[in-house]
Parts: sequence; C-alpha cells; structure tokens
Amino acid sequence: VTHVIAAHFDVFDGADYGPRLRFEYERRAVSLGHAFPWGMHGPSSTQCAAMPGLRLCVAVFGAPRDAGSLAMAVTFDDDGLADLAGASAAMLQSLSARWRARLQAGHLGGRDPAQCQELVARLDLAADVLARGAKGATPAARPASVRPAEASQTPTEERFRLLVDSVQDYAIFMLDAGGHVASWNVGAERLKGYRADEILGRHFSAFYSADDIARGHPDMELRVAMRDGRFAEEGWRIRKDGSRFWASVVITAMRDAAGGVTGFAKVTRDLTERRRAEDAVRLREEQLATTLQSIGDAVIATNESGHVTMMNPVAEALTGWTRANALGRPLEEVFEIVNEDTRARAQNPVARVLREGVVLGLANHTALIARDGTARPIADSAAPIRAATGEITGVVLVFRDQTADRAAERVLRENEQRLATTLHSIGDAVIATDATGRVALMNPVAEALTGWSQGEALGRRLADVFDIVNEETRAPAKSPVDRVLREGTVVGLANHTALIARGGTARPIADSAAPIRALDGSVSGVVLVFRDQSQERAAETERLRLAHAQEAVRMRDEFLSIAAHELRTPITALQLQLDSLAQTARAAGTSADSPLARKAEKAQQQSVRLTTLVDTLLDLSRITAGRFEIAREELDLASLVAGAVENLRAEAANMGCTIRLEAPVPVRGFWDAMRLEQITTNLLSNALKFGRGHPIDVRVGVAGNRARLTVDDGGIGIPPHDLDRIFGRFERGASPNHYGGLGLGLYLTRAYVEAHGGTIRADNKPGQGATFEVDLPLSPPSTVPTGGPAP
Amino acid sequence: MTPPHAHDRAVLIVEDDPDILDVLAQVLEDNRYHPICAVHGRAALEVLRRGGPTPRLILLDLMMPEMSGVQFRAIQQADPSIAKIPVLLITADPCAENVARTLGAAGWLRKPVRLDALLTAIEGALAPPAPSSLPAP
Repeated sequence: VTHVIAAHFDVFDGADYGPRLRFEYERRAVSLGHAFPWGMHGPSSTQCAAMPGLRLCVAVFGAPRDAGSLAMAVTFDDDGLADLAGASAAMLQSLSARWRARLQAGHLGGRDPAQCQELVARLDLAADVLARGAKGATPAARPASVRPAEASQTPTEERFRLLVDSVQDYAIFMLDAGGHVASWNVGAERLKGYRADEILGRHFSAFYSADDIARGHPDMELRVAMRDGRFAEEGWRIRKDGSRFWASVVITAMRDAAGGVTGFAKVTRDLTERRRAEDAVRLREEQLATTLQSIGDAVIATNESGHVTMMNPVAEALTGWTRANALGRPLEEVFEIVNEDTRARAQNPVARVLREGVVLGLANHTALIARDGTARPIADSAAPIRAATGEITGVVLVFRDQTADRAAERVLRENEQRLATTLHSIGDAVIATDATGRVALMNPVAEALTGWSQGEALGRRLADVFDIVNEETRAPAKSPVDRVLREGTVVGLANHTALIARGGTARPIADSAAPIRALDGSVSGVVLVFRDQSQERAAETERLRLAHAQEAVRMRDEFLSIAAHELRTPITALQLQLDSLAQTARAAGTSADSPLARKAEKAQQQSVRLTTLVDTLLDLSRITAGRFEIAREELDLASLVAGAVENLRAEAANMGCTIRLEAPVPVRGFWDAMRLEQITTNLLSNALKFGRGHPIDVRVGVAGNRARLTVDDGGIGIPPHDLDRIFGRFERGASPNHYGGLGLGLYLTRAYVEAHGGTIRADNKPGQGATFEVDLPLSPPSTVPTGGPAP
Repeated sequence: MTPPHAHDRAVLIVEDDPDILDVLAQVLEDNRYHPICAVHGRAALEVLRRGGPTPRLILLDLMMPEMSGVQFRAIQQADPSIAKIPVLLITADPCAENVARTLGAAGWLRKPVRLDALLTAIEGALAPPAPSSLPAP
C-alpha cells in the first residue's frame, strides 16, 4: 500500500507547522528504519530518491507571494505512516478553516483575497489527498503511474492531476520515452512561457541553450535517468522568450510493470531568485568581511560559548594576538581588561551578554592589557549576536584605543585648569552668565568689587549682583548683558557708570560685555569684564589739575613775553625823547651841570633801569619757555669784563666799593658778548648790593680748557642753607625789605652761563663775603661758525 | 628851516608806531637830517617811487602791518633804482644781528635805542666807505 503523507507547511500567519510535522516524520520514519536527514523544508528530491520506497509525487502549493508557503506530499510505501498522513490532513483542514474564517472576517493582513481564496482551495485539496492516503486508499498514483490526464482516471487520480495542474511554482510535466513533451501544467507554462498547445509534442531540448544541445546535454540527462532511475541538477534553462533562468531539474524515469521506460516525469523549479539571493548573501558576506577588516574599531566575535570566532586587524593590533592564534580561545584570554586606575581585573562583558542578552558598554577607565603587557585605555561595547530565531549565538565586541582621546581629555582638562587659574588671577573682574543672564561664574576680583561671593551669586540675576548706576545722576544704568543676549554683539558700558557694591560702596568702573557663543554659533551666555576706575579717575583728576597749572604757567610766561615786548615800544620812544632832551639841554646850557641837564640825565638813568627790567622779563619768559638763544662771536673775555668794570666804577665808588680787576692776559672764546656783559654786570651788581663798603675782587683767567671769571665780595656772605637755592627763580639770599629787586639776577645769570655750556657756583669765603665762580668753555660745545647764529 | 643841502641828508624812517616815528623824526631833524616818514613797507615803497628826493638812508622797523620790513627789503633789493640805499634796522627782535646779516643791512639798532648809538650808526652808514663792523646797540 502506498501512503501519501504531507510534509511541510509554512503558512501566512506566521505559525510554523513544519517543525512539528517534521519531528513526527522523523520519529515515525526512524522507528520504521528510515533515515530522514532533511531540513526544515522537507526532503530534497535527491534525498527522496535515496530512500527506498519513498517517492516524491506532489510538490508545492501555496500563495506565490509568500515565500516558504510550501507543502509537500510524499508517497510512502509503508503502512506505518498512514496515521501520520491523517494527522497531516487534519492540520491542513484546520488551516483551511482558519483562513476561511479570516476571509469571511476580512482579516487578511493586506493580502489579496483572491490568492487567499486559492490557498484555501489548495489546502482543502491537499487535505483531501492526505485523508485518502491515511485511510489506506490509493490517494495518488505512484509516480510510475502518473500519466497525462485521461478520461479513465479514478476520481483520486483526477484530483491528483488537478493538483499537479494547478501547481504554479513548479513546472511538472511528462516526457515520452523519446523526450517529447507529453503533459504540461500551469507551473510549466508560467516558468517556461509556453502554452500547452505550443509545447506538447515538442522535444524537451527546447528548454536548453544551443551550447547544451550541441554537447548533447538533454540526451545525457535522459540516459542518466534511464540508467539510475533519476537525474537531478541545477543549471541554466531557456524560456520561450529566450531569457535564461537558473533551474532545479529532476527527471524521473517512469517504467511499466515490465521495467521498460515508458517516459519521464520532469519537475523543474526556477531558482533564479534563490541564486540571486545567494549571490547577494555572498556579496554581503564579502562586504561584511571587508568592512570588518577595514573598520577603524577593533572587532572580536565569539560563539555562544564565548570563544573567539573572528577578529579584525585592529583587534589584532590592540590585543597583540594574531587572528590565527586567537581563534577558538576563550575571549578572556585574548581580551584581558583591567581597571585603568586600580589595575584590578575588570569583569569581562561577554559572559553577561551571553547570559542576559543585553548590550553592554564597558565601564569607564577600562584598560586592555595586550599580549605583550602593554596597557591601553579603551572604550568598548558588547552586543549579542542573535540568530533569526532570536537565540543568542555569540557576542560581538567592538572596542577602540582611547589613548589619544585620553590625551585630548587631559589637554582639555589642563586648558580648563589654566583658564580657571587665569580667571582667578586676572586683574580685571570677570562675571559670566548663562543664556538667561544668570550668574554662572565670577572671579575673586569680581567678588571683591561687587561684594558678592561666587557661591552666593551663582544662579542670581546679574542685575542683583552687578548693580550699576550713572555716576553723576545715580539713576540705574542699563545692564549691557540684556543687549548682548538680544543682539549678540560686544557692548561697552556707557561712560560714567558706577558699580554699587553689596555694602553700598559706589565705584566708577569701565567695562565691556561680550557674547559667549556655543559651537553652533548661538549665544550661550555673556562674559562681563570690568575694572575699578577709582584710581584712574583720581589720576585723571590729578593730570587735569597739572595740565591746568602748566597752562597757567605757560599763559603767565606768554603774558610776560607780550608785556615785555609791548613795553619796549613806549620805552623806546621815551628813551629817545629823554636823550633828545638831554642833548637839547646840553646844547642850550653852557655847563653839563645845569639843573636841566642833570634832571634829564636822572630821567635817562631811570629809563635805562626800566629797559633793563623789561629785558629781564623778556629773558625770563624766553628761558622758562625754553626759547632762549645766544649769538656767539669771537671775543676777549678779559677786555669785555674790563669794560663792564669801568661802566660800574662810578656806581661802585658811590657805594664805597673799590673794584680790583686781575685780568693779565686776553682770554678768547666764542661767546655772546651781550650776555657775558650781563653776567659780569649782574655779578658785580650783586657784589655791590651785598658788599657795600667792601672791596670787590674780579679775576679773569683760564682753568684747563675753560675760561674762569671770579667775583669776590666782602659782604654778608650767603647763609649756608641758601647756597643751593640762590640761583633759583625769585630767590634771595637776604630779605627783600633791605635788598630790593626781582630776585632774578642770579637766576638769569645762571641761565646765561648755562646757555653757553658753562657752570656757575657760589660759596662763602673763609673770612668774610661770598665768591662766585663762572666757568665757560673756550670753544663752543659743537662747531659753530664764527659769529653765526646760536643753535 | 631845511638846510639847502637837505636832500643830501634825507633819511626815510619806516616805523609803524607813531610815537617812535614821531620822536625819531624829531631827533633826526634836531641833528640836521631830513626825515621822511612811512608807516609801513608799502608806504615806504610809495615814497621811494614817487620821485621826491632820494633818501640817503632807510631806518627800517621789522614788524609792521601791511608790509613787513623783511618784505620791503626784498622788494627794495630787487628794484635797481632804490636797491643801493643803505638800510639800518631798528628792531625789538633779539636776533637783530642775524636778521641784519640776512637782509644785508648796513647796521642794526635794538630797541630801545639810545640817541648816541642812533646818530653814530647813521653816520657810520652814510660815511663812505661802508663800515666793516656793525655798531653795538
């Protein structure tokens, strides 16, 4: 008795009936002494062929859209499997019922109702075939008796024929003994493109390429099938339209009772898609391998027992293990990790991933110990590798050398530290805010100026801490921070801003506020830098005061200059007039002693004094303004001094002084005659003034490369504490009540001397009186042409 | 009052201050010179080009409105008809000596001027040949 049993179902709704059925087959088959080494998709045709008594008779049914919706009916010459066929039939029937219910309810999950309808029909058909087989009936003709549809067929055979005819995914057709097509089904038409009427009767070599035909391949197949009962291969076949497809071909010889070959059953399946998918898988695997090889991170994979199955070059470099040496070893051996700081062994993540199926990141501060002992900080993660069924088949470990990152982190930390130190030690006050204008940081100077500690100020609105007013009006000043946050620009404080410290102290400050920008350019805060301006303000005040004073002095000197100049004009007229008067008086009178002549002479003397005073003022203004100049010419100091002494002899005699001159030799040099005369006259006048009644000694000589003029008097001398200041402006060595004058004589004398590059000093004589000593360079400081203008 | 040989002793005084101009003219007259007065350089040029008696000497102030002494002297020297008239500077400029050299003046007097010095300088400037040394102020 030949039983038909169903093999495998893999249906739409995700439930997998296959394993259960398979298990049953295997159990029963093995108990009957058959080996069933097939996989989930049932026995292959080759496997079927290898099992005595097992015949493949039905291939596939199911909706073409759903891969794997496969059922297979197998005939079996064994009564022991009959009840299994019944169970299979029952399963198909329940499946059919379920789909019928879904069709009625419209719960098709988006599937085409027509296809579902067809599936139900096929399930019913297959269940019917199986049920008959289970009852011991002959459900289908043995393969040997499968023939093209005939009128004399039994109902079962007819149904089986219908089943074959309706199979779409397999081309199932017969060849006669000569290899001509004798039957054709829907699957064959679909696969090969021929309608039944086009192909029936034609030789099956029509399905082969010219090359295959030329080398006699079709005939070879039939010969093998005849010899061995069966021929199976995968290869390229040609469709009607000439296109190729990758076909799985099984040709089974059909024999009559006498054993003669009556024809062949040929089952062909299009595996182009599978091949393409296999190619794609292979390509993906190659890509994956290449990716793993070239990936910048280290990758190690293990199997479900935690042994290394794969590692890439980076992993080899970091662990120091070659792939060849590492494969098959426990991961802990290859991937030894410790705590970076304590060096204590760190927990290996693989065991936990295998146990819990979670993705793990390594703890921070993990270091990998390479095979040679080198420790490297690493970052890593471990993830389970899951099969399609969800079971964990291994762990993939991805890790990376963190040495450079760690160094970068250190640099970053150092920079932060440096910045903090800088902020801490900077002389200006610094306050930083966040994007909402609240205090985020302040340095000690800012703490000192505001009176707020950073701890107290953090998180407060800036205006609380940085309370600014207009320095003059005391009206609250606008905080620059709001504007910075609004406009994103650097804002300087208005002038005259004062900061009110927490204790109420107001200090003038200068400041600016600038936006802190995040990497994306948005303003993430404001940094405010300000400085106590109190000292600057005081210095500025002092500077202004000094400038005012200097300006006053300058204006006074300018006034002196103008006044002296203006005075000269009337004096000129006056003096000429007086001279003219004296001339007239002399001409009119007979004696120079006439009262008119004497009075004119007195007036002349006063006008000369007036002139001298004006000249003094003019010189003074020039000296203080730094515009004093001398006109050098070659002259003899000895004779010049002699002339000056002569001019004063009468005056000296009036004051009871004799002037003794000691000028034995000419002393020639380049000097300003008028100024030398003034120097001499001033010193002599000074001696007369303070040494009334005492003789005056004047000496002219040479000391080294200098001309020396000495004037000694026998007067009151100079109080020691005045020696340093008698050459100052408006200074006197004695009370102005007793000794009149502007107190400018010695000051101007020193200026005249110094204008020549000379020196003057005063001292008290051992006995009585003062001595003045003037030294003048014999030649000018730089080469000046004879009589040329002074520099 | 003017002596018959007055034109031989004509002296042009160029001075903007009327008091000084007045007293200078007076003392020159007292000393038998024939003073001709001009209040600035431009006026002096007009006098010289008017065709009157040619002065023997020009007493020239430096700082004057309209045309300064320096400007006048430059024009005078460029005009051959008057270029030869000697010039005596009378100025308050402390650097009178240098200016006198620059302008090619016959001499210089620093204000305030003493009468003796003035007369000596005038005589020196008029006496041929021209003095080689300048009179002291």
